[in-house]
Amino acid sequence: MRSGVILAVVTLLLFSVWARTQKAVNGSQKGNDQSLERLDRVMEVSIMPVGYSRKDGTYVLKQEFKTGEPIKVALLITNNSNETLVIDKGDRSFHYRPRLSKDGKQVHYLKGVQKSIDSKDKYGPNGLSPVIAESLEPNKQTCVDYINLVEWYGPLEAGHYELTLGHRFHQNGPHVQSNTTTFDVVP
Amino acid sequence: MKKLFCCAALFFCLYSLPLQTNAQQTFGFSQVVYDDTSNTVFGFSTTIVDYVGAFHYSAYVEGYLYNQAGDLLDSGYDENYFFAEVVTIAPAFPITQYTLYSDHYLVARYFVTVDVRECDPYCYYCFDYFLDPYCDYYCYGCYRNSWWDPWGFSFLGPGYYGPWWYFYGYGPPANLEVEYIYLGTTSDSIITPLPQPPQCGNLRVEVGSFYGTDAGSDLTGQTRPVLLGSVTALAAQIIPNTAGAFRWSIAGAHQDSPSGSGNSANDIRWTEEGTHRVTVTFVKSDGSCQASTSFNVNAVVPQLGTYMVRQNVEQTRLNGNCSRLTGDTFSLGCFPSPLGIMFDATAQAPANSISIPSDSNIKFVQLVSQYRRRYTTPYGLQCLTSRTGGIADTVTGWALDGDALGGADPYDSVHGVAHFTNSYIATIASNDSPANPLNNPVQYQSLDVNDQFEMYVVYFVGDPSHPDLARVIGKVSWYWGGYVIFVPDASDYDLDPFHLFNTTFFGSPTNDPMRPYTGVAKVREIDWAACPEFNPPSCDPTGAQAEACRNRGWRFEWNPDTCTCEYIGYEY
Repeated sequence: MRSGVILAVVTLLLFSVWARTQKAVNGSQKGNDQSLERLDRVMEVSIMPVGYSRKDGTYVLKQEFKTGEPIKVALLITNNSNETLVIDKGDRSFHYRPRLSKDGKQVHYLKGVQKSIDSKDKYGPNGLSPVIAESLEPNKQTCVDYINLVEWYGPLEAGHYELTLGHRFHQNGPHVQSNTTTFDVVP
Repeated sequence: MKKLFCCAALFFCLYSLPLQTNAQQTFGFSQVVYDDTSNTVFGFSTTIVDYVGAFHYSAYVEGYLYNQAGDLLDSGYDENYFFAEVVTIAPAFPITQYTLYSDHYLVARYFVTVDVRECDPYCYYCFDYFLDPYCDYYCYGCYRNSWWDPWGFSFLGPGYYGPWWYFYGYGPPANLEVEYIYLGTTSDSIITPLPQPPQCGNLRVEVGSFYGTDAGSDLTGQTRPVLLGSVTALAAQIIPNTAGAFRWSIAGAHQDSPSGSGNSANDIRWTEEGTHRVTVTFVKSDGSCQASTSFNVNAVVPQLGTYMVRQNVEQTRLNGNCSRLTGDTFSLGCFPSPLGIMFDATAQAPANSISIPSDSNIKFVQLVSQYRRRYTTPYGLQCLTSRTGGIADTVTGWALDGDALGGADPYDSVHGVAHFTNSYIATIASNDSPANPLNNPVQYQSLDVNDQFEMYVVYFVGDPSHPDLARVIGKVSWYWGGYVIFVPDASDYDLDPFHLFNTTFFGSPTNDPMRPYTGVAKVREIDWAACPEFNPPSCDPTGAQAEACRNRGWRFEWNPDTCTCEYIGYEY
């Protein structure tokens, strides 16, 4: 009888510990989700086409490119909150969804790129690509990356282009849309 | 002096070559030089025989120096055992072309007695002259002395060549009637410059840099470091101020763009390491006199300063969401805190450099040889790797670290790239937090991770993605991984990690280029495939059918024994 009571107490204690652990895990998960969802609300995404300037020693705004020239887009993110927030970068096919149109017609991704982003949409990030922490100071715009459009679309033909970028900060999160920017490719 | 050095180097090369080749060779060389101090043109004609060939042949050369009108100004010849050289000389006239032709010969040193049957057709019958006493009389004249050409140079078709040529003896041994074997002719020519005006006694040229600690001061006679490939902005001035133009003479491989008033400024990029001389000459606008100055630059690649790496431990977490993954995770650190590994590197160039500091940069570039092996109930044992030899093979499978779009160079295009400051120091920092999900999209029963990395610090100039010049200056090797096994009863994981403690270590300077990388980083969920250390079934040697089966979804399972994609239809 006595041993039965002890067993019951121990079982109760163990269950209580397990339940608390589960609660903590679920609570942590929920807290994590909430902090991630916050990124979607407080981050403002903007883009601009850039080219490397040897004179300035950096990428500068450029809206006309020659065919075959590297076409890059600076990704700028403004943290509109009052605290420093950390985002991750490195898995471009998970985070970025550029939408490019040429003379009003949508330009399709390269075949391999489409396959990769389908995989990312289905399974999410997997930690195999670099996971690079980027701290964003409060109320400040930070240049986070330079996106090479050739990697997404291949060499671009001459024409007038419009580009918008969706940026996904976490799995199951929305693609936060950027401004629309334009540039020309000339022969 | 320059010519002697040149010849000595060529002589050395020539003597070392026959050890590696069966064919014998002889070197012919022509050079015309203008000596502005004596206002004379010198022609050097040289024939060099290698040390094996010198046993059988002597070198012989004839030199003929012409002006542009075709007048023969001087000629000469020389014969010697190894090295025959003749110098031709003529007074120099401005803006005149001088051409030197050198006829190169070998001189056979030995002769042999040969039976020349052709001299007397009747000798054909003398084979057995012992039996025919009349034959001796008829064949008396059939023996002749011939020059011995053991390497068959006489079979070479002579020709006309540029300033130098290697003549090879390819042919079979031959007996020659002539002693001198003509090999061919080399030639060289120059056009003499305009006459130099006299030095201006009352003028002084100064040259200085726009950048560096002594920007604006006169560098005459000094030697200053410049960073390889970056722009060095120089300017020259004439004191007292006088009308005229500047002429730049820049040694060493370089690109330059003179500008400013009368070419008074010049942006120069040296692409060859070492000490190079810069001479600036000012010529008065009336051409009556000139003044000049010079100084040296030492083009250098910056050196690695510090390179510190701080690495966290591997960990498994239930619903850890480390590195922003979903669910249970195995990770290095647990992004966003703590980070897996952090890199901090600096590079420095001599503080008294004069090139534009912001034109020089450093960046991180990371290579990876990844290996991940998992066991899941629906798919069995699978790997994600480009290695050919499996988990212990850290030699193959190297790729530029990146994502499904390809490798990323630079590794981190913002914080992993930096200019040099005005004190010629550059600092970069970046981090990585690799991870692997443990229950997404399926529950892993076990996971092996053995990812090897090399993070390079690269000096470069130009666009970080397409640099004009890049050199590795530092490197660190690191790795992460371990063995994770799911314990269903505890709904938890057992971990045997590679690292039990946080560690700090340092990268080291290196001049070696990056290791070759040909592998393709496999980073997608759909890239899981048969492990390289296990032989794939002969019905599906590439694993394509297995991959197609996996792509049909989790209700299908590839059966390697029957080579069929089987519907399993259960949920878990």
